[in-house]
Amino acid sequence: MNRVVLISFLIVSMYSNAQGLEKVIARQGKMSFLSYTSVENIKAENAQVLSFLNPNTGEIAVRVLMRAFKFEKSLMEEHFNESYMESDLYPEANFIGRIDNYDASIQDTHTRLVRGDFTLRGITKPLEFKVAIRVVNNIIYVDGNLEILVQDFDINIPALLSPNIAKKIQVAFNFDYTPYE
Amino acid sequence: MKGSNNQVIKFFLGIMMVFVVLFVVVKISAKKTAKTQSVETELNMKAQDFFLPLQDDQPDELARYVEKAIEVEGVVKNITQRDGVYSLILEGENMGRNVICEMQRDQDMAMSKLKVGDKIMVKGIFKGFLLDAILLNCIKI
Repeated sequence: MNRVVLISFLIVSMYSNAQGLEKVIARQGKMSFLSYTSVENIKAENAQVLSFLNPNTGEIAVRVLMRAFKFEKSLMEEHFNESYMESDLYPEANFIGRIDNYDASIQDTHTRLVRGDFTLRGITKPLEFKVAIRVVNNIIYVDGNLEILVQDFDINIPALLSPNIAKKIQVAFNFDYTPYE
Repeated sequence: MKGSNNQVIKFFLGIMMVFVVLFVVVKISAKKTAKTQSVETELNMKAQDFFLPLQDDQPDELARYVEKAIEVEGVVKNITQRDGVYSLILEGENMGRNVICEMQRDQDMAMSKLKVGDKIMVKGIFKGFLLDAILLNCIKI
């Protein structure tokens, strides 16, 4: 737990150095994923994702608790945490990156590219994806989707279950950032 | 004649066994997540106490309660509703860390009567910490 707290405070302090605009936080960001195959569709949602955004620099940090993903069936959730993600060993996934050409003064919906490093199961890979950004009543809404390759993160899927799990996992997310108190 | 009768019985017993196994497999794989009402409480605490182990430098004190049911008493700081699911934010400690309780879907009636500032006791499945402590499938008790 100390490590988790340390990361949180590092992220917070990183944004405390922001000049001008307030740092913003999404305490209850939403992330979902879908594994689509002809055999079975597996879907899960996590509505308690944490993210910080520095409106001055476009720096963005995301932390996802793996055990907070909710599945339709308990057996899927059990396999996900125990066999594939090994959530006891790797309780969370992280992303640290930057929104290219972020301009906090643009209120209308606009698209930007995000580049950064995504860590899952202790393995870090560079990641690029597009996000849609809009600002309404001082709330910054950021949403987007991306694909994760199962093979990139050393996820061990038994041969028998291999046809049930897609090689590419579709991930969708949305964050509503408000000033961090 | 008797031999062929035995073969027929064995065949039908075999078919029945296959159906029983299939039924059990389907039942297990389709099992929904247990309701929190039916899960035994492992720990009772106040919302602020989630963060005491951090101050006392006892890092993994609460790690053993991950996926266990915890009863938490606290003051409602905020109530959110998203996609039909309520979440309560209970006041934690001064550093801006709180307890987030994502409510079970059958709690809508109880949530509609709740106000910011109310004192409440909830029971939920502890999932771990981000900035806040996270509990899912919470119920009001």
